Amino acid sequence: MNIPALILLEGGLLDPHVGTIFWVFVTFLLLVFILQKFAWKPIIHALEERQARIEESFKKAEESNKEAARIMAQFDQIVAEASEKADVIVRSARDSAEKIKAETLHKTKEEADKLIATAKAEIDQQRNSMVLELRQEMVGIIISVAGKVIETNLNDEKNRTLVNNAIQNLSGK
Amino acid sequence: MSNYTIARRYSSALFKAAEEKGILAAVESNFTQIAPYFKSHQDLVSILSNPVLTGEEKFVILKKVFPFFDTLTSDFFKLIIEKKREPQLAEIVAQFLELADKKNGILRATAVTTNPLTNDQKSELIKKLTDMTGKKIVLTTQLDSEIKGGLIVKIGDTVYNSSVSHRLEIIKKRLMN
Repeated sequence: MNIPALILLEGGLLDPHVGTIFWVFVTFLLLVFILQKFAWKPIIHALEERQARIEESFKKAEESNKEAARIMAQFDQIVAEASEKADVIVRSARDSAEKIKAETLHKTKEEADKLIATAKAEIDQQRNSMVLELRQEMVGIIISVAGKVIETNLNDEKNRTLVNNAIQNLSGK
Repeated sequence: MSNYTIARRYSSALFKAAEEKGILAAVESNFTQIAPYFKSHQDLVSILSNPVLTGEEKFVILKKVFPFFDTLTSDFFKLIIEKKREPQLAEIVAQFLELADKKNGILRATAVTTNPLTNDQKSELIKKLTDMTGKKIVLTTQLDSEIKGGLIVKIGDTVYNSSVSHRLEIIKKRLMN
């Protein structure tokens, strides 16, 4: 027996039947009651929990984002500071290098000047001592020649006069 | 004590003794004769300083070398030998003569020249030095060709140098600086 035949036979499912409506209604109310009693609360509770969890997750995510942004900012600051510090170090290194360079140059120049002065003084001294030596040698030669000349020219007569003069001049001393 | 101080003590002691005995002139003439020997005979000085010889031997030698001793001089030499001051004998004699010169108002001068001084020059020099010092001058002459001419007079500690070599030396010094 197929369904259309049954519907046709029993007056059909679409025919209002008070008893059926009544039982369906009762069954439905029973189901609602049972569901309300046992299923809805846990389901709603679960839904609420889920919602809360999701909301918390959102909040956490937001916080994480904020934290990340803060860390990022901190990081940026650190980088900026580091870069500034590096700049300062490089600048001071450059400055001290310049200073050392200038000092070294100055010192080297000073030493060179001193060396030159010493060398000049030494040359002067040597020249002076050479001049003096030459002069002394010349004077020695001149005097010895003069002595020879005097010895040759100083005859007894002249020597006697010399001695006489020496005797005369004695009291004068 | 230095040789000089030792000699000063012995010579002044002998001088006083001779003065007291009135024989200063005799001792002085002895010493005047002895003095040149110490300068010209170094062996005599070394014999007197020789520690191997006994005092008596040294005295005998002195007597042989100088046979003209008076008693005082002879005793004095004995004392010197006894006190072992023979090495200072030459200095003692020299200082004794200095004391005698002082007493006699004598000043000894030495004149150095290249040629011997004439008698006129000598007397002129003595006259000049007497005028200058107010003392009796005993002049010794000395020849030295090294001075090249002119005259050097040494009197006491003073030297009057008007030799040619000295003048050349002065010129040389002036030219050097």
